[in-house]
Amino acid sequence: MSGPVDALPPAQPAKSRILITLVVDTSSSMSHLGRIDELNAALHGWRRQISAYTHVMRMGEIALVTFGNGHVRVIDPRGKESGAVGQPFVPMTDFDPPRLEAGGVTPMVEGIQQALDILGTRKQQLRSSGIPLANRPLMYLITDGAPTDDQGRLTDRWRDLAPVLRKQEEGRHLLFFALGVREADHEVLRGLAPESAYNLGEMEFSKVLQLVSASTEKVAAGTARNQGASEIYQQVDQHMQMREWLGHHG
Amino acid sequence: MGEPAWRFLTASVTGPSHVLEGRPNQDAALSAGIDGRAHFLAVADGAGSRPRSREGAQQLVKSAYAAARAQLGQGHPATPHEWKRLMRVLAGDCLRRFDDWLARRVRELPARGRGDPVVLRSQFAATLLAAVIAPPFVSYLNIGDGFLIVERAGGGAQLVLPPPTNRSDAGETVFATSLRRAEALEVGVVLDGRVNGVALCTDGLTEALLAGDGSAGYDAPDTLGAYFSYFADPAVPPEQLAKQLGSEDFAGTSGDDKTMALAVRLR
Repeated sequence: MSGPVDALPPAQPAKSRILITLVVDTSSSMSHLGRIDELNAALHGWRRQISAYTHVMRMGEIALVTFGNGHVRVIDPRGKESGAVGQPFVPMTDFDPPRLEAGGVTPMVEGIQQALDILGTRKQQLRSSGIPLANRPLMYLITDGAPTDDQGRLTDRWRDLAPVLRKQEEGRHLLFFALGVREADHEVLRGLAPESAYNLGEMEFSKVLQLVSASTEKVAAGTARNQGASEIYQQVDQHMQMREWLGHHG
Repeated sequence: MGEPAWRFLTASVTGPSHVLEGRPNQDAALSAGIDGRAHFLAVADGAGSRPRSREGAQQLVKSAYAAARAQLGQGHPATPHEWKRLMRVLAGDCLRRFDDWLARRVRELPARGRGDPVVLRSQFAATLLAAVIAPPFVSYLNIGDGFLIVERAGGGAQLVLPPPTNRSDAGETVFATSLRRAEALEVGVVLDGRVNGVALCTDGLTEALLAGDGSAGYDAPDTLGAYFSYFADPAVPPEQLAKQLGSEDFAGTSGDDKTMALAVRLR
């Protein structure tokens, strides 16, 4: 790849946006065997990895929601604000997340709901500013557990959330991936994301985030906008050769 | 085509996403003279997810050219209305030729896995934007999401045929293999003796070339005029167009393949 022709104008500034939301488990189980440290290292490494996808970096905005430590928190993906975050979505180029700590129960359902809320707000802001989306927003749930209530008891409130996600998918408003490691409850993941749930077993978080990069790139390429969610999930699955990969890492 | 002379060039580069996936360029472009008074340009964009869309795109531009030769062989229209009507006829002729080819091609596919003919056809899905440059007329037909820019002396670059806006929630792109292709067909004509250039682009170039806020519509920025003035110099190598489209700067705007067919009046 070369530089542009000097006599010709450079590419226009980015007009469209790609919205990416990471919904990450920081419950107490993540403190086992240094998982939270591994996740922190992986998130920092991911920034370097995804920078290879220049169009994702150019158009991408990212938000980070955690559930567990501090209940549900919207984290500043730039790592600058520690309290309430004024703007949850920041340019991908600014992604430099703070160190996450593990603790508490697993309010997964509330975490996803919070993520949907901030996503809806950002879409509205972009719409008001006349900035289109290049494609459907992407949301990735990364967890090693199962949803609980405030007392740490398992809850099946996720069953109420699943139809909301399906409606978003059918309306072409969202693509939702559920990525589970270690003791993640696969029934929950399959329920939340019937066509895009992955039980990744002992896979390292750095590799989990590679799946995020690959699917983001696939969707951001533009060709996916003509397809229904099922078709995209199928292609992402094939594209990443996920099943084969799982055979090696699962 | 009379004086002054025109220059025609095409460039098509593989999108960075396709490079990463090891997939080929699924766009196609064609530039060819018709009868000494008219020149044909076309770009086609194979649907990224369809396994044979590259073949479909290549065949579409060939079918459109064959149709253009056949239709213009019966004489040139004299009025914008006649040109517009001719472009509709040309589009129908193109799609018939494409369908004939497609029917043969589908029959050649391995029997195993054969299924719904509509699904088989969709494997070859591609959009088509074609133009006949016959100054002072520039006529075009479009099925899909390509866009067309016309540059006029003293008037700058104008986005005559814009791409669809707000792609995330928009309906599906219509391809030449789609059932709704007849409804989606757009034809148009520009009558202006001062046209200095015409650019046909696939949607992979939308982000790189066009300005505007997207939701309300795109615009051709003033800077686009540089393409027409730069390539109007015959000393400029045609490869410079591919260099620009394949540059890192352009790659950063979209993962898609990027294709342009350009006509410039030599100055």
